[in-house]
Amino acid sequence: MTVAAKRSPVDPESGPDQMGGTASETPVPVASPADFRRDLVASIPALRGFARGLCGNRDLADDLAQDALVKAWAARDSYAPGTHFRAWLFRILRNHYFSLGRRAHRFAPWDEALADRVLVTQANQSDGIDIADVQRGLATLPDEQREALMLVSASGLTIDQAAEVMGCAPGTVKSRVSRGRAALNRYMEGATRDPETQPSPSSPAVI
Amino acid sequence: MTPPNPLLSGVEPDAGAVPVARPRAASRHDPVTSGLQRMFETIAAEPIPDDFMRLLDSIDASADQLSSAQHATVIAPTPGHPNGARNSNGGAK
Repeated sequence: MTVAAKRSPVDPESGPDQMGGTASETPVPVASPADFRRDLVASIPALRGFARGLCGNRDLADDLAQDALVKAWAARDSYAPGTHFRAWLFRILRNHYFSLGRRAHRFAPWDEALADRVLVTQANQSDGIDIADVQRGLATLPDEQREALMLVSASGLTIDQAAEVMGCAPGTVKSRVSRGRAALNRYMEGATRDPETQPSPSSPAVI
Repeated sequence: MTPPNPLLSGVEPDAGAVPVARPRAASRHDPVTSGLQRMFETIAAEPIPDDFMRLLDSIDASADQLSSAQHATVIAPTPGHPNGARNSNGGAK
């Protein structure tokens, strides 16, 4: 393991790195390129899942995930081994997503391919939850609530880790998760009662 | 005690230093969390598109080129060097 003299920013668009601790002048351990690449590859499924939940579109999500991989590789010296690698990647991806603006998200079409697959999966589930409803409902939430739900409820980050990813206080994350969960629950209950009120597959997400 | 399922004993797609998110007990009673987890896991279980691996390969190639170029700069022959040593790029500047 080598040692970098100084931590560099994770992403020029995002400001200082907050995932590996505070920026300091103390030496920071750096992962070997092989270790870093291994962790990158292992994180691709989660990165795609987070991106898909964030933007609701398969192609845009994969573009975001690939951009995040490139940015992560370029900023690999700023990652401190032992800190939460996935949260570090998520932060890069979400900063990139929000730096692109939200226009692409607003007009992203409903992901028909995912809906087909999860609806097939649904037949084998016993809890009665329609994942297509979840994804439709997720698309109706404000960005910050959708992001909080994806980080905490979907991908399993802790509140503190999500707060570092989102660059806000843990209490803010809790609030966003709570409000997002309540709104999504209302949506799902409504969708269950009256399926005809669901948005059409081609309609853009309402933010 | 339930014996381990041999189908689940292989390497998980997210194995290694990165822990895999596990469904939490509370989600059994929370349809929203359960649905979100299932959506996330469904996407994460998809095969990784070839684009991603090609991208990583190109990153590796770029890193190797950069490394070679830096190495070449370090050992580039100085004028009048008796060996006329060539660097790793075959002497190209």
